[in-house]
Amino acid sequence: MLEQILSGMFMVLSPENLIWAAAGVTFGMILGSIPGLTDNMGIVLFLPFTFYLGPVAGIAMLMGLTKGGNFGGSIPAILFNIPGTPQAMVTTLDGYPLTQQGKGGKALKQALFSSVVADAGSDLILIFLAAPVAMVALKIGPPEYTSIIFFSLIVISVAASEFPVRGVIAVILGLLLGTVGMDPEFGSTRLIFNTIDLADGFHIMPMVIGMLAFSEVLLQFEKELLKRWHKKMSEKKPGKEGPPEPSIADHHLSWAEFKKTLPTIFRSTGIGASIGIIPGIGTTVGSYLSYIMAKQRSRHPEKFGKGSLEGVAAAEAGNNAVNGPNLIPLVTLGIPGNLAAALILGGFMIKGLIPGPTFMQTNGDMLYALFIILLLSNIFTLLIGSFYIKHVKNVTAIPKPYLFTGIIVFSVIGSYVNYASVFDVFVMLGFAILGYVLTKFKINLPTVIVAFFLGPMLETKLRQALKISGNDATVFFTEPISLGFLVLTAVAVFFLVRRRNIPKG
Amino acid sequence: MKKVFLVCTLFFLMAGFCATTYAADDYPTKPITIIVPWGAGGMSNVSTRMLGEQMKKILGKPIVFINKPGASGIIGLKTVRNAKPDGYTLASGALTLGFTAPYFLDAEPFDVDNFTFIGSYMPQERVLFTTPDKPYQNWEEFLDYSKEHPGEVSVGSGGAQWALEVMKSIAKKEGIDWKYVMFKSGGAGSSAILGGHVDACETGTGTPAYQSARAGKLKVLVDLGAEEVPFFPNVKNVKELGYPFSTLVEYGMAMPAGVPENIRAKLENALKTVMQDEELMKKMGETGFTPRFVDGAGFKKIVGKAIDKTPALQEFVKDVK
Repeated sequence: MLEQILSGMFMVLSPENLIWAAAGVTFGMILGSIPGLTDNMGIVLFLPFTFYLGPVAGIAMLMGLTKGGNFGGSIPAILFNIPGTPQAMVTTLDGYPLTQQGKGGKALKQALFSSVVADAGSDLILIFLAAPVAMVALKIGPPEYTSIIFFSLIVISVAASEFPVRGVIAVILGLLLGTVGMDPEFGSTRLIFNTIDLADGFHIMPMVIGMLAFSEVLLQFEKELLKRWHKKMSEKKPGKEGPPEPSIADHHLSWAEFKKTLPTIFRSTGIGASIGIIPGIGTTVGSYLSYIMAKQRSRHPEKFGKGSLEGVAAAEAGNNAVNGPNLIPLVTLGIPGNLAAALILGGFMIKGLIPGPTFMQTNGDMLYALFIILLLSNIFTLLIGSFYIKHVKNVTAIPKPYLFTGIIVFSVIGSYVNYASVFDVFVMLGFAILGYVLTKFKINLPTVIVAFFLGPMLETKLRQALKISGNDATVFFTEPISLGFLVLTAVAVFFLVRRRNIPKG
Repeated sequence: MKKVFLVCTLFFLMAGFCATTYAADDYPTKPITIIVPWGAGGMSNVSTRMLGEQMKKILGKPIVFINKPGASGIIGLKTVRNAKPDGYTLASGALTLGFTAPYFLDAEPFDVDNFTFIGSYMPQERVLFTTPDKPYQNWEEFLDYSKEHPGEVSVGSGGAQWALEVMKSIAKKEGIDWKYVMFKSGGAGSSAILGGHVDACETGTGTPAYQSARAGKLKVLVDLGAEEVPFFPNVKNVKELGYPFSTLVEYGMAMPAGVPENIRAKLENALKTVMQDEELMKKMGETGFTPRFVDGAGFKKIVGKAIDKTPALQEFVKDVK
């Protein structure tokens, strides 16, 4: 093993590999920070390009793309309330309020440092615990999945909103939207109203872009209209103030401030990494659960949602920590844990390499080389990210008409490109209107999206579990891991509700 | 005046005609688009890109790859069917799956005559796996065990409705009562069988389950197709075993109907030449692919057979729960 690590080190130390890894991080960050374009799209774009690179350099670049993209997505989330990638959804909750208070730079730095720490931590889990974690991941079958998803949905619905009823409505709405498309068991279509484009259900990208990015444009448009209208009305009596002006700019993040968020970062890394072990649950759930947990444990839960650094830290650490363990099923079994991993698997295959049970023996040195590059890429993220946010934080100075025009353009492109589908552009517009209406009713949009995303998985796993057990529902209580999560759900609901009932202040 | 107009029209018509024939002779004069009707993570995508990267060297023009997944390949195939038949828009991947998908999804069926076929580059077998800790280790033992334990044995599918229905047809013939579990993809099916969540599960060759079987961690019970499983010469296929239905997965390339024959032949020839590249074939073989070339006419027959077989299979298993 030591031999493999050493020869892996030599493989890494060629400048070619380092340059391409850094290039991956840079491109990923730029793509991630443009709403509508994602790191996954970057991988698709650069996949043919890796044909001409050595195996280590090619894969390192693809992995760099996900790392960069993961942080990049939080930049527009913080600056404009528009997540650049779906996983940055939760970062908007506290990131944008901080920008409104003139602390955008501070929030960006907090997001960057939290991302890098959590990402590095999750890489270490990947490197040192891959084999045992893979064993655990295989133990997660349909009944376990069902209970874990059930747990996530209940916690998110209860905790997401000030009023649990709204949270429950959001979850139900998301679940209903998720039933459109293909029946997971029979493969027949349902609720598609003879529209073959809907045969796979709504695609997640146009939905996220519509609900979060485009609807924000609609809301800002309305705000601007109202402001002008009010101005006209109140021209006779001046002195009436508009929305509060940003207070004194504060872009510095002190060590003392950062140190306070460290426990949150470590806890969120743990939560995110645990979610990452289970293929398919995904980064958004990881960051959401971390955020809820951080709010529970915080000394200042009242600040959450109003610009808490801890909130930003939890969301970003929670989503980045998912990445490392998500690669574990890929390198140990050849099973991709998420879309990015599936694309990277394609990258391996183009090189004639098959990740899986025998990969460690046949290509051990290469695997270690990739692990080392993965760790080094975190340093790239830190350096390139610091440089990037130094310049990018000033884009808030771009006049809003230009900015929102740009966002509209990228929303349309972003919803089109993933499936090369004009239909998806209309889906995006439809969800923009839905998002606008729901915001008026104070329904939490990220909750709708998470429920939409988890719904089909819940249905699939529930039906699989019942099929295997012969329609015996007790299977959820007799499987130990499944039972554990059901108990955890009850405990979590108890604490969340109790906490809410304590008078504030 | 009229005459001048007529002459002009004729002239332009001639010019236009010359231009088209010229273009056909000179093909390709601009980049070619290959539409893969499946996602970027799958085997169709990887195999198409591996071949396409080499084909563009022969054709001398860039190739643009577009993944247009959706409805098990129907959406991508429809796009190609409706494209201009000028040889610049191709579909590539596990096309027989897309051509038969309408029967499973209850959509409008495809007609082979609406397509021009370039050729196919590999078959894929669907293989039934089990874990080594089971009391049955081969097909006969598995059948006996299933008959002795009606309604207890679960068989899964790695995302292929077709393969699941072939298993149902076997169950009907043998009088077996299995529990059928559908998984989303070959990867999901692989983890289900590796984790022991189902008693047996089928996936295509090249999947993690297949690689695990090659490493001795899973056992192969039967081949649900009608050809050979690479690296498992002793595994019987369902056709040899005398079952009425088998899967027929064929990866190939097609264009809309009406593409001039010389363009089609040029592409067919490019595919054929690429598949004589030993280095590429070795690379594909290591990945778990089983490349072999079939010409356009042969591929059209294969697709036609697949389309014909599917409704019969569905009719046969209609009453199997």
